[in-house]
Amino acid sequence: MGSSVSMKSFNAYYADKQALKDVNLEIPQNSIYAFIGPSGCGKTTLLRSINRLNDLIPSFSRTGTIAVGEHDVYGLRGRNAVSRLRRGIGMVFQQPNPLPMTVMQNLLLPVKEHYKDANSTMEALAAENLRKAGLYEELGDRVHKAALLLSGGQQQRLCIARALMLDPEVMLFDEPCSALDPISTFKIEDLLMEIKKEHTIIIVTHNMEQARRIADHTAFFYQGEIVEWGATRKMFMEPEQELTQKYIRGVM
Amino acid sequence: MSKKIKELLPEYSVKMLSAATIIAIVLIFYFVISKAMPVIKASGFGLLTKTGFDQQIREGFASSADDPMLTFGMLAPIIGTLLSTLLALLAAGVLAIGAAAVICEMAPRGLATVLTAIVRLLASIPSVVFGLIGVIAVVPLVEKLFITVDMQIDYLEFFQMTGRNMLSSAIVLTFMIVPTIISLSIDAIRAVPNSRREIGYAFGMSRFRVIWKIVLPSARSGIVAGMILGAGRGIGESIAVSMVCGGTAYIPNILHGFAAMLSPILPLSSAIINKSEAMSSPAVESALFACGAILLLMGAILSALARLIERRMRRRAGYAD
Repeated sequence: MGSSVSMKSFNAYYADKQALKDVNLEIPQNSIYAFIGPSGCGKTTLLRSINRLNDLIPSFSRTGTIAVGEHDVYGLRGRNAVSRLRRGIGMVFQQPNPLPMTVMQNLLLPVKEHYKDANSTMEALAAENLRKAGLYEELGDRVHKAALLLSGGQQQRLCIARALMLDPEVMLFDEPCSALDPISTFKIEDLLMEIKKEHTIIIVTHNMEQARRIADHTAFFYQGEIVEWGATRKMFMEPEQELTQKYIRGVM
Repeated sequence: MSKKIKELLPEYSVKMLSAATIIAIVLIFYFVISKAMPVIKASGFGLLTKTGFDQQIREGFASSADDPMLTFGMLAPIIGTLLSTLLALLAAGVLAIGAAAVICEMAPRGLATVLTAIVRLLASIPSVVFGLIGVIAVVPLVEKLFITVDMQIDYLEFFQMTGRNMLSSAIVLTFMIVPTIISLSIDAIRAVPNSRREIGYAFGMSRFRVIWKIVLPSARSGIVAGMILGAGRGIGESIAVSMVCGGTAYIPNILHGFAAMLSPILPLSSAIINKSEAMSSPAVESALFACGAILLLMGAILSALARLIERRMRRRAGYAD
């Protein structure tokens, strides 16, 4: 089951520059929530705040809270708490980024890191996730070949399968299709529709058609603020704000 | 007309210079091998498989110019070179990869700058200075830590045990190789994009695990390149090693256990230094050039091996050639 995610008066800064202003958002479980908006509007910052990946940037700071399910992301206590949090949140990046090892090794990397199951159990899990990603038949024996030999679309689906290996409650997608051709994009969209049954999905996208096709809810970001949010259909059919209207029409 | 010259002159001079480099290398090979030829011809394959180098040098020096003693066996110097380099490479590899990981991934920026400067300094120290440090610091230390009079008596029938031995050679070589491997490893680690590290962090890996499972494997080919350059330096290093190696062409016997580490050795390059006083004899001269020829061969094999490993690793990782 996925977890819901909620942000309350969340502000984020890179040094003195404010990247997010007073973000309040409720993301329901087992749905696809799309973040749209022009470049530099803060949507990726918010996405990367959910699994605290921004902590790696020295100049980053924030106020306010984010909760994933029951857990207060920034109020975690104890050793390895961040590590445990990140384990429960899968992430897929803009560029397909399999590591320079075999497909199978890529899939086993996250599980081997945290669990000590028998190899056969882990490989069965890997096969299951490959099947979900539609790669199992497509690759056949090539699962034991280098992952970088796959096409871009296959690599990205592999990355999704890899993120699924830890069975995360929430999955974050940072423009996962922007480097891919239309056919690969459609395959990934189908995959997202499939996995939202068991995971909560948050996707940053520049492609408004994509948001319209797959997202249950959409939030429109502009200059660090959420201008409008709600059910995707309503937002695209009859946006309340003028800014949203302009952005959707492509006149901004 | 003058325009044509302006274009052609640089082109031809660059071509000539490249040709000169190639010709120089060919001449070096030709010269060394032709000088070594009498010994190579007389010794045949035994040059690589037979022992008794010290004795043969003495005989060669004593033999008359009309009837020189040209049969040499260089197994001991070859093994001395390989073993001392291998030991140094293992130690230096571990030290250097650790140091590079600390400098790139853990140390705060100020400390990293200082450490990098120290590494560069280490790389610029002339090898004879390493030799001196070896003689005044490493040799006495090895003697004090590991060698007792009882051991010296026990092993008297095999070799004379002193602080000048394979272990000291390997230690001195380690410090000479380490800066090379560190520098190349730093470059390789810095070239790993941050997005790679984020994959690991997003899976909840700790910083150490990210370095171990993602950064170092991604930097592998650069690190291996550094190791191979280091191996090249180890094989070719003559002065520093000749000062601490013991100067006896003995083959360390693994049955001696740890004492094998304390056997004197005479690597090929040190043999050239060590025996060069006897070079007035044509037999010894040819023998030392044969040492040089074997070193050249090892260098060539090493660089071919480097290319092979690099290509295999890239292919296995899935990068197109």
